[in-house]
Amino acid sequence: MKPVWALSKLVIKEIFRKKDFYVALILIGVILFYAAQLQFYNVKNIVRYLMEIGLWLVFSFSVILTVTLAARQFPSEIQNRTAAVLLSKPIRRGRFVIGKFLGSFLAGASAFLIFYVLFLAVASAKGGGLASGTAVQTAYLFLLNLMVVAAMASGFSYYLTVSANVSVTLILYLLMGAYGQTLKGRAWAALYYCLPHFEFFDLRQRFIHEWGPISAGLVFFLTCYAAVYTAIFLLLGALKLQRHSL
Amino acid sequence: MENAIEIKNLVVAYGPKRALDGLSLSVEKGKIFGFLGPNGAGKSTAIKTLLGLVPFYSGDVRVHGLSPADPRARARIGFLPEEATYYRFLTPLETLKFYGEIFSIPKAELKTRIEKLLTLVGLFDVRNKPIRTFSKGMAQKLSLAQALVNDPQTLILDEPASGLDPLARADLRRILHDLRNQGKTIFFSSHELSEAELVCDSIAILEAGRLVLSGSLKEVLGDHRDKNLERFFIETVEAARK
Repeated sequence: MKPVWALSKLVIKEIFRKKDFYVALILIGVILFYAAQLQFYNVKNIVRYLMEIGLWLVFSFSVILTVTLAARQFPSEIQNRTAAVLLSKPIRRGRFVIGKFLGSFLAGASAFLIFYVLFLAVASAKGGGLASGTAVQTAYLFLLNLMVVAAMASGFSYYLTVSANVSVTLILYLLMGAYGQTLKGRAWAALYYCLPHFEFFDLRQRFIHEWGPISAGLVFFLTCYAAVYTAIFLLLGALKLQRHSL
Repeated sequence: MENAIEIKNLVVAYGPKRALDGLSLSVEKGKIFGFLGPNGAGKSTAIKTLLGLVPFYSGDVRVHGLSPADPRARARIGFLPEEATYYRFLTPLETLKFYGEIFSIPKAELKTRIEKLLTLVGLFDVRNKPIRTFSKGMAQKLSLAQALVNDPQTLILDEPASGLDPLARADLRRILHDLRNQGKTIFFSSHELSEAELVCDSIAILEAGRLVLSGSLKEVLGDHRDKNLERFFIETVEAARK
């Protein structure tokens, strides 16, 4: 497993040594700080608006960073000709796919946790009712969501160019998140069962409106659901790479 | 004498075009072998096949008796590509540490080996500088260091002198001779024939995916010792094309 971990560490270093993460962090910080200063007379629970905006920013930037990072891994190895150097060493191609995915996921997860802590600090300073159980579940399920989307972008990176991959992954992510439930029972029912339902992992409304955490059984089911989709996308990537002549 | 590399009747096709067409050759252990040919002759394809980077081919390829698809074969090889832009956000120290970890080299051993290698290629003083600030020559030195990080039994070098100034070329020649004296096998692809003539014990000339001739420099030049390798190479390739 040492080569897999070496590859993962490389990807994690990449996200923190390039400016994208810092741009996102500064943007989130500035917007949250500005939103926290707003005062509207006679508006009750204004902190909920702050939480809505804050969580949307944190989730969106984390997904964008993770997708762009995962999507460019293999194409940039090809473009810089480091893929041939790396794969001429004793690392199996399947492990290469896992290492690149794991690095992208852990890098995205680290960025998300930093953004999330910043958000929690601002929201609690404004008196947000941060029920700890729901706050932890919201973060955990979003991490599962990031895992699936990182696997998707990682798997597609062996088939598509960076720009095509980022576009396809983000479009599927947004469409499934917003309209996933409407596909059921229609002519596109196959898509309903084939594509991952990212909306399952979204606990933002529960968190904001303090509806309480979901059951442990459901969390377990969603963990398995995310693991299955992650494995499928990685398998697709590995199958393509096995046949790839470098 | 045992062979480090054995290729028998190797055919690699990209669609209808055969990049290698029945190539057979062997490389003795502990020798510097020059793999020569004009652009498009199939040198890079042969090298990629030796490195396990070409999944589909026919024929038999063995590196230290093992198939290149076997990671144990690749663990004995060091590869220097013609051109590679290493991870620009890393330093040379981090780059070599990364490749060492790919070989699962123990931490303490890797630390000592990296220091030696950085000194050998003359990058020790810039070991903590980001690679993005490096010139082409410095990048090529780093490339050589990464190829040696696993202390390989066989080195496969694709145009190793590319991008190096005359002083750095002389250093490279010295390093290659030292490595040969340590018993390492060096498979050296080039179309810079003066360089090949200075370092190689034996050569093979490839044209259109086929082996035109191979043997020790003395055997190959035979009665043509009055000519330099470049003149001989041009005549041989032109004759093969007719």
